[in-house]
Amino acid sequence: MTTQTADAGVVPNLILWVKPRARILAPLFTLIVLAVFFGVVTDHFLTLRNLENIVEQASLLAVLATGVTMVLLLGEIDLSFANVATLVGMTMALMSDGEIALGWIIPACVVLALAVGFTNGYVSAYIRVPSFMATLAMYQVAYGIAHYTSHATPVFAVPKFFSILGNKNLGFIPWISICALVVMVGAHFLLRYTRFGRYIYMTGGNREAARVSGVNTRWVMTAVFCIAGFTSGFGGMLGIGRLGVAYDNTMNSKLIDGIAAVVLGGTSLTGGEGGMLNTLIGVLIWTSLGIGLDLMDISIYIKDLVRGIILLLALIFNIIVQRSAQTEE
Amino acid sequence: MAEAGVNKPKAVEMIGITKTFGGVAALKEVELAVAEGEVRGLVGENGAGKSTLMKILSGAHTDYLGDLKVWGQKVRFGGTSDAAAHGIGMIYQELSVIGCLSVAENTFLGQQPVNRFGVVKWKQMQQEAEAHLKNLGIEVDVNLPLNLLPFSVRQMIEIAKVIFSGARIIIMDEPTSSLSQAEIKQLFQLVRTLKERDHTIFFISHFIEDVMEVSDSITILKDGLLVETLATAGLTKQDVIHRMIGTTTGRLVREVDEVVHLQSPDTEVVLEVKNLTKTGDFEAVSFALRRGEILGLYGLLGAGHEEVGRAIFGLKRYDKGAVLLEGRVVPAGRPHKVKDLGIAYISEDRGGSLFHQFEIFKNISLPYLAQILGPPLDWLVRIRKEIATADFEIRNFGIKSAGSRVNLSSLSGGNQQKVALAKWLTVTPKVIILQEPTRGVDVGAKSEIVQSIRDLKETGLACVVISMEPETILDLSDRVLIFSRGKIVSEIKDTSTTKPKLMELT
Repeated sequence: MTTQTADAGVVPNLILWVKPRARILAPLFTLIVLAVFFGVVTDHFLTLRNLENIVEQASLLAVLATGVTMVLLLGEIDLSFANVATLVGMTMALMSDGEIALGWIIPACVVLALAVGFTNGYVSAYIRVPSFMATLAMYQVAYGIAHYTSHATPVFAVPKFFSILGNKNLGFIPWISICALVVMVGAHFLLRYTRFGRYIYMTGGNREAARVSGVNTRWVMTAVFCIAGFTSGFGGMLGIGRLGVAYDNTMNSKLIDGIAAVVLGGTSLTGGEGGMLNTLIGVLIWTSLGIGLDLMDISIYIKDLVRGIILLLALIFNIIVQRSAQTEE
Repeated sequence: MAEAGVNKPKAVEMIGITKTFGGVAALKEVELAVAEGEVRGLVGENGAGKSTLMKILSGAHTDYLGDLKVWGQKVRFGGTSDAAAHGIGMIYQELSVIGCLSVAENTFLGQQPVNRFGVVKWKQMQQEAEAHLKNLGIEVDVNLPLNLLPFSVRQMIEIAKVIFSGARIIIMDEPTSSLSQAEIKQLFQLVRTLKERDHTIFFISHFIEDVMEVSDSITILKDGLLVETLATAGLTKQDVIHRMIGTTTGRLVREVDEVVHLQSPDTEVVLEVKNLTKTGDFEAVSFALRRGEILGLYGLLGAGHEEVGRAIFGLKRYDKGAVLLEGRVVPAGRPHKVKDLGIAYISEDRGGSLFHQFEIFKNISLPYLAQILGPPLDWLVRIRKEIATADFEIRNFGIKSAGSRVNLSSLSGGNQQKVALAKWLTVTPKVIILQEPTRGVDVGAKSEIVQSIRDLKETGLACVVISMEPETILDLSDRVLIFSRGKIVSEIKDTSTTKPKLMELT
């Protein structure tokens, strides 16, 4: 009797606490389940060394996923970011190969990244080509430029500065993780504590209502694509700095990684809900999954299939949890 | 009963039809009988129950009390396809024809002639479509894609489609609202052709003249009750309007013939609209708005006054003309710039102008967020400032909510409408445009909103109230401009007027 009455009080309270937080708790739950699973089935997953490895591996993805998060918050999509990363990284390598000073390389790469982002944004927002198509075209353009300028041969010149950022540590913290932290914290601040960030959420939540409320939604969209261009470019420079070599398809696999991480983190594909905390968890989920499968004693040929299936299952789980949180409100 | 129905069988009989929505009766014990080959007009104010009644007949509403007889047989439809199988077709205002397909394809939509492999027989389809349309007096190249043809033709194709699929009882919902005078003539010709072939037609419209011209008899509905069914011959427009309005109880302000005295102030002009034209929506619209004045723009659905409001705020581009605020040109098509100049706009569409999944304070702070956050750090979000502003507005407008941090979706319609108004008053604008400010809100909220708008006027704000409901216009306005088919047809200024008079002028 007494336990029943206690339950009756605690359970509804718990539900009340969980429901508004389902968007962050569901991916967190996924992350914990994955960590426990890999901790049980492998010997090394839950070791300090491996956890450091996960953080380091996740850092590059985190930088790229930051831009994707903002674009998704607007209810748009960026399919070009991975190839834009390659393009900017390749530009950096080619300029370095031409012995141009770092003081020129950095501004040139930043301008290029912003210009690509601006093009994505302008074409989607003002000319109103659906961002899905506009950025798919940019995917091909960015790859095409990298392919053409490098003639499909690897470029082995990387500025020392980016080689250090990609590989070395500050004390025991990898520089690349510091970069990721700075980018993510900056984005979090922008989204949560600036007027521009509020406009992003409101525009993503209801584009027409934002426009009718006097928000310059097209400008917001263009600016967000510029930021996404910047994070892609920065990610590309870090990634190629880390590898020490630029191929014309270096970042290709990051396309699925970036979008999977953001969506697994719980940011809504239709816009307006989610944020950098979600993306942080999503990036950790996706990286843990990759590393955990590496540690498991299974055929390397089946890993992509397993990751794909787990992505699908996790997405279904997240959607169900979020939907139940909404409807029962 | 109408003469046309004397010696013909009854096509439709409705007996004791009652329909409630969430405890509110939309129709009460409605009795109706229409004969084969009769054209029956259906009139009434917004919310009188015309559409609900026709949705029961067309199978869209299946949950009602009472009996429905079609061709003398008692029926109870499970859905619209069920009604279609009994020969009932409805032509909605939004047409269901597909613009990119040809006239022939649309005429046969869903029932194209096919050979035994399931391949469409194009030649046969074109010939049959042509013959079928010609038979109805519609001559058009059946191979043209529909979106190259004017709206009126598309509408006639829709009617042809419904008839081709076997409908003998046709319901037309506001068929003339988007048509020009010449096109209306064509439509009426089609209606008469159908009548000659013993099709039965229900003609719902706000345009009383149109109903009177084409119908044999008119059924008048008011507040869900059937007032009267009259033979059209010998009726006048005033007869119909008076029966439509009746003596209303429980209404906020107006009795039928209550005289409202309009008086406009003699202050300086704030907003000037010059010769605004957008082909197909409005034409040569000019007016001036003075400080402390409420100007009502009244018209029926599709009269163009709603589009003028959207155009002023930059939500719609126009072909010609200009909008001036205190002598300065207001840019077209840039709502964020128009807002910064000091014009506020309250949309008639709450769903399209508010954010249901976000907190109330975020809804209220959005339009003037920079001003609420205040210099020098107007880019830095400080929720406490927003909440203080929102709480002030919640108290000011008497918005009933569990605080400013709950989601907007938790509010009732009337309180949401107050949020829609409050969010534009966190900073005082110079001009405020209100589209249907009291639509869909209960009587209590309605009078509070009306009072808030009157208070704003007292502070010197200039308001434009745009509505299709004469009560809203008369409750608020100092001066009224009447729109009909995209043009200002008359101005009511410094005189007394009544609701019937307003309605007659449209």
